[in-house]
Amino acid sequence: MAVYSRLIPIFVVTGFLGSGKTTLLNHMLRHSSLKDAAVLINEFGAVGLDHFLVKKMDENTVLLSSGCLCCTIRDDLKSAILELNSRRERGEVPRYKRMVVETTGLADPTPILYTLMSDPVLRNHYRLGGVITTVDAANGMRQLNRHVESVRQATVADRIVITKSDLVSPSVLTGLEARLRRINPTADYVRGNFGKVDVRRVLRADVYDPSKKAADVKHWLDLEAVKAAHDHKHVHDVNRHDQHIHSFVVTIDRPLDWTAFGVWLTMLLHRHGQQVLRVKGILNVKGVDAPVIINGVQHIVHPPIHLAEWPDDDRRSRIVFIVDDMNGALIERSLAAFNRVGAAAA
Amino acid sequence: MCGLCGTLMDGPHWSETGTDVARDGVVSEGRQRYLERAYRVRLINRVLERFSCKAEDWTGGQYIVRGLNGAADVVVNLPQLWKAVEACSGRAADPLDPELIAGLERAEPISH
Repeated sequence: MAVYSRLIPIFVVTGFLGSGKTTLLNHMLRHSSLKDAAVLINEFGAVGLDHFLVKKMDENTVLLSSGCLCCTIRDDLKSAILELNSRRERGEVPRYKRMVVETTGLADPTPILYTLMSDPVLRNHYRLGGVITTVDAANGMRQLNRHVESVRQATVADRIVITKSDLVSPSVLTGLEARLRRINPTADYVRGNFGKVDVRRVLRADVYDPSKKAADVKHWLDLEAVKAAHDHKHVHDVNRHDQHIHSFVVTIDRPLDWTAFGVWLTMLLHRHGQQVLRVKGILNVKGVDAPVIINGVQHIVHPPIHLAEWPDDDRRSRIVFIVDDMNGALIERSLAAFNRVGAAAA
Repeated sequence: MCGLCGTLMDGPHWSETGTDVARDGVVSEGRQRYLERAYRVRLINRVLERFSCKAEDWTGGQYIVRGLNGAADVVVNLPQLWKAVEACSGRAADPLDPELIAGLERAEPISH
């Protein structure tokens, strides 16, 4: 298997129709960090992309036998990446070092993530760099109310860029951001207008860069933010798609048995993967000096990362869950029971 | 592809990386890897005590889920294993099942 950190990172840019994905991409592609990036888009929108390597892909999805939407292979995406890869190897296109995939506005992005992380051929050349979601400040609230895809796009994000923030009042902006933080308290929030954002910060979404991970982990584990999101979960509007989405932190005092954790999490995601929208955490693994970072989206789990050092003085394992209608106390008790069975391991 | 059974191998699953000797997504090798797999299988079988099936390691690269009636299924990773367990036992492989949790809370811890 290829060494993970040497694979080409793919950043997924998602967001609802008209939320400013292409405008953001245009701005990002002018930045030096992305001058050697290839770009895959679903459609050429009104705002054209001015970049040396832009390729269009067509919608073509294959639902796997499990029947779960998040475990869907996007054949078009796979073919487009592999074709670009062949041309890169033959020297027909520049040797790009990154890739950006812009999704269609109506897409639930999880099949794209599943394709990138599960296809055996892609996995040997590429890795998921991170998910950047654009949310329109003016229309975001309405889209979250009406379209479940919009909620899904927010839950899978590592960075959420609130676009057109200059077009609304501060109170509207604050209200939208508060709602998004309830859906996804672990994401980093960036405000932008006319596609102008802090590109370095947006690209820090790279989920497999240990040198940049410590700050991210500190942010995920901002327990107050997660607690605030949890305390505000009881919103009495049955029409809201995020009505039952809530987050909580599971804390394990004793060092975790990695094997028991793997057995437990694979079993949990097998049975409840559609409801476990995100799992992110820092683990104190028995017998391992460095903390281990775990990061997953539904059934998809990134390979674990070892940090060089702990981000704070707390040495407990802390795992943030964003779930759809699940019992946090039961999840914590279940993990503790599995960990206990492995407790006598040397 | 496995030369013996024709199973398509899919590279190491994340649950088989992550220990101290398996940094950067590379799975541990040799004796260490076999010890980890043997321990994983013992743990899985502790979980499966209430299911009518058992797991075995096969050639260090796959698992066999075997039912009490002799039916067997070869799988390559843990997500596939839980699916095979459900097919074999007719019971949901659910770590949030209160009966399963209570059983594990009473069970003797196992060792490497």
